[in-house]
Amino acid sequence: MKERKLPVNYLGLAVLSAPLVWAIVFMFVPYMIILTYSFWIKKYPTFEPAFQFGNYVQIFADPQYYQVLLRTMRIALLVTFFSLLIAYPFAYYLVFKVRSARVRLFLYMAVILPLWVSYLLRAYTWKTILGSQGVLNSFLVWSGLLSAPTDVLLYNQFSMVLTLTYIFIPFMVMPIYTSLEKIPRNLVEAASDLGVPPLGVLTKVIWPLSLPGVLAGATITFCLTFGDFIAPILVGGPDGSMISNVITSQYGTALNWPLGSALAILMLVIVLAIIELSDRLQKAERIATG
Amino acid sequence: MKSIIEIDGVSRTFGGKVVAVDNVQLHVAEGEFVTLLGPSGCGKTTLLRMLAGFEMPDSGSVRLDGKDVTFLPPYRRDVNMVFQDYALFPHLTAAKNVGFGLERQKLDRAEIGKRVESALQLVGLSAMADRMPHQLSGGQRQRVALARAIVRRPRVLLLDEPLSALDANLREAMQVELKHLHNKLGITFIMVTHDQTEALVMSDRIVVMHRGRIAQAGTPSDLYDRPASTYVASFVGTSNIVEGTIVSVADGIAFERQGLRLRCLPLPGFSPGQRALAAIRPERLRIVNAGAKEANVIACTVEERLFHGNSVRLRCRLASGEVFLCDRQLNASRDLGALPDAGQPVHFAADPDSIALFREDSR
Ligand SMILES: Nc1ncnc2c1ncn2[C@@H]1O[C@H](COP(=O)(O)OP(=O)(O)OP(=O)(O)O)[C@@H](O)[C@H]1O
Ligand SMILES: [Mg+2]
Repeated sequence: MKERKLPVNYLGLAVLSAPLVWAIVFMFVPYMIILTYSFWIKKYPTFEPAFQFGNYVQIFADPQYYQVLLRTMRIALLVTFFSLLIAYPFAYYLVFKVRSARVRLFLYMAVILPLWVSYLLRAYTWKTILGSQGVLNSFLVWSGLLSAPTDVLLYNQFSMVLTLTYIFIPFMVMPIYTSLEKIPRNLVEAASDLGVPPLGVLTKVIWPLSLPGVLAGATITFCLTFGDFIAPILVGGPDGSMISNVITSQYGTALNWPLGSALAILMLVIVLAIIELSDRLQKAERIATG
Repeated sequence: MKSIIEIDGVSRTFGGKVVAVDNVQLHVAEGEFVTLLGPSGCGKTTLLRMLAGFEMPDSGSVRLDGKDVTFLPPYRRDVNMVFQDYALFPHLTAAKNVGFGLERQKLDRAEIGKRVESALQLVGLSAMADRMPHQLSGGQRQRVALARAIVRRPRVLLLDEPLSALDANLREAMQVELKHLHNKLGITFIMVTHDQTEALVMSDRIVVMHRGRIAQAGTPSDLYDRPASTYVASFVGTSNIVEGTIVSVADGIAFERQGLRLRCLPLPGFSPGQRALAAIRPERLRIVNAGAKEANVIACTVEERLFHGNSVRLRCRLASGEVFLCDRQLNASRDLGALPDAGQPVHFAADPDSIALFREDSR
């Protein structure tokens, strides 16, 4: 009996082989190369093989690096927070307040559609809105609220958080929308029937049952923001660079591949840790609610 | 007796054309057990939801204990509902589910705990207090839903097909339990069902609905013995319905249908020549010999003999082509042999008082 099963396993392997090879060649191998580099030593003008943790030590010893890391985390947290703040009420409104299915689909699409537009274009949009010659400044001056254009709108952390929130908010809306839509309507009715007014229904029934979606959205948004390097270039300015920008420059102008690799590995570890944590929370939630 | 619920001229239309509830008039006395009975889509749930506050009537008014609640939101009505699929909160334990509605009321923790405990005890689930809904069986979930609805001591308990998801045995046990609970609590129960046996067993009063309207409301025996229409006669219990003509109204009514002549009790409102419908319960028929000197002898041919355990149903056909049913209770010797077999002719006798006559337009 056992022998007869074997061909089936070969078949399974054959089906899986293409994606497997793909993953090995284009993901696993590059990561291994980067991991190897991260232990090397920089010897100007190139680097030589070694096995030492100097690069990692440097990251935590040199404020230049760990401060960028902290700033990146703070920005990612802020973007996650503001995305949630906007996405949740929006998704809630769509799922529970909009009665017409067509209007609901239209509004949902209005949020999702920008994902089809080039990322660069979307980031540029904010540059043109916030710049000193930009739309917002023109409006503020025209309306008399400002006497002269201001440059506080662009090239700082505010503009970064704003732009990144705009760019990544669909990733927050989608999972929250899905999880809200899965909540049976009669649970809302049951709560209402038990004397709980709408606000209580939101906090005690809808919010806890939508946590998986919130968690998924927060994880995606945080990780995407954490690794972003284009928004800092376009709207970030000098104090707005993030960890990915530092990595790029280590591979480029700074010509310090070992340090860049160590930063990349650190970033990978942080992102993996967050995904793992989120995964465990999801599982705990699933066990609790069945 | 005092009416706790007064539904006056209530209508509800969906999407401008589906008339779900059509000018319903219903008053329910305090402590009554009323069932809304009817086929799928006749508006039972919609009517119940208007009592709960999930649905607003287009016209008419709903009063609860004398107070107009027509447009009051659900969370401000003194009624509670047991949902068809229970609607338990999946993220809360059985006890938390039951206590959910109490946390709003100004009660201290100890009092809440005590009430939850006694509600769970009432439905026999004390041991399951800390289980999550997905760890409970269907019947246990049903009990949690029940405990959750009664723990707030509502004036009226609404139940939307509460037993439909249970298997036959459990359903019968729960029917009795619900009935006991109703006696014990003394609150008004309004239950939706499409199961006529359930309605007959449990209710003080049955409201039969037909296309959004009330076809008839009355006690179970009222409906069974004196149905107001052939619709009610065939929905509550089973009836043989024969279409024919009134041939005379002197000395009782005579009704004829292709060689079948029935004498019925006198009844006003009929005149000779009029089209009419006669309804006869299958269990009121007696099997007689061909030439029996009886008032109404009905000749037909047995098509099938259906064994029901404690009774046998003979599925026969009249000479005029209609299906005609006869139910025979089996006696102690369980003698099936005395009953005619498939293909054999048979003669039934129907006493005049067992025949209900309806005008043709009563359908
Ligand atoms: N929200 C709604 N929108 C549109 N039509 C509805 C809505 N709710 C009910 N209806 C329609 O109203 C009619 C009555 O529905 P209702 O749910 O009250 O029937 P019911 O007697 O409870 O039937 P069942 O035994 O199948 O539960 C049906 O034709 C149904 O399709
Ligand atoms: Mg229904």
